[in-house]
Amino acid sequence: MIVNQNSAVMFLLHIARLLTPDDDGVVNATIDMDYPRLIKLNSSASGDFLLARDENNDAVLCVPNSMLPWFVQVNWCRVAVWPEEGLLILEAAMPDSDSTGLAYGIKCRPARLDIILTEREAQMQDNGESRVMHILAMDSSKEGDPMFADAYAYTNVPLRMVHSMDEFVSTLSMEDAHEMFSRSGLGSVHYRAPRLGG
Amino acid sequence: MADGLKFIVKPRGVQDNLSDAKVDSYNPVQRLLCGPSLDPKLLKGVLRMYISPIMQRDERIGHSFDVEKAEVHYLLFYAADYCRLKAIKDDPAKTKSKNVVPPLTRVTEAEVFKRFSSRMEVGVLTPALAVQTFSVRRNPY
Repeated sequence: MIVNQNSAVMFLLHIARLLTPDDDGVVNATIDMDYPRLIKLNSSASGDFLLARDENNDAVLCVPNSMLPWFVQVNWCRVAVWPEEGLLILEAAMPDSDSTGLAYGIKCRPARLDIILTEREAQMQDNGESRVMHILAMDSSKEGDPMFADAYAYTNVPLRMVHSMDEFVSTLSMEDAHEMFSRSGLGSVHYRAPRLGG
Repeated sequence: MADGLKFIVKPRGVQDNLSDAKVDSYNPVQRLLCGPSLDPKLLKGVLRMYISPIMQRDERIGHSFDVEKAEVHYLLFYAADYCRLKAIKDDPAKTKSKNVVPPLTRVTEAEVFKRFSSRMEVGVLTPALAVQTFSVRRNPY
């Protein structure tokens, strides 16, 4: 859930702009047609983020200052690493349930997803060892020389590894997402910015 | 914290997706006024599909943001975008490129609201609620 309406507004604008072609006609994110709650960023938009590990070996997602505070006002409840698809998926839960309301997929090379969670660590999770990810603000205005905040903006999001859509989401949730998608009208929208008339 | 990071992959990215660096404000309406145009149908769809399901009841303005109530935001966006486009259309000399940002002073929140009032046929938003919403937004944090 989003705890602040202004953050909701900002997040809405962010997603809408990702789905709208930019000046070069490039669309920076697509909606997954198997599971429409999943928005998959392209490489360019994903490049706004950095992946890292901290001194405790915990995974860290670095988010640009320009996306704060609204990005961390979303209640990110889980993070899924999907090596086969090259995706790091942040999941936001609905307020009154544990169901995923939004899945935000950041594209990354499969090998680099090891920065967040390795296969071995995922296997160790099965034995009860939990892995978490934190979110850290960064100032990336100076190219090649990012600066980082002194404290995490969001902490302890549980990590998991998935290898297929079935593993990522239940059939029931997928059906629910398709139903919502058809009601939202997104399927029939041609993503074009309105033009000036006359 | 920078020293504590062991290693980082992926060099920093490409662009600020909001591309509204000229606005030093957290007011969403102002930011919309200065950002690129967005398709109202797309906004509405994204709102219904992704944002409304993860919104929490906002106690400060006394109503929950379910899909119906969230129309308020959609309409505000639409009104703001309309005013932005109108400002460009009214003064094309100063906005030769479609990407030129019209000065904020040319389109005030009052004007947004005034123009918006004529678009109340949907009937979800009451003037009192709109004013309340604006006042909350003026000092969001």
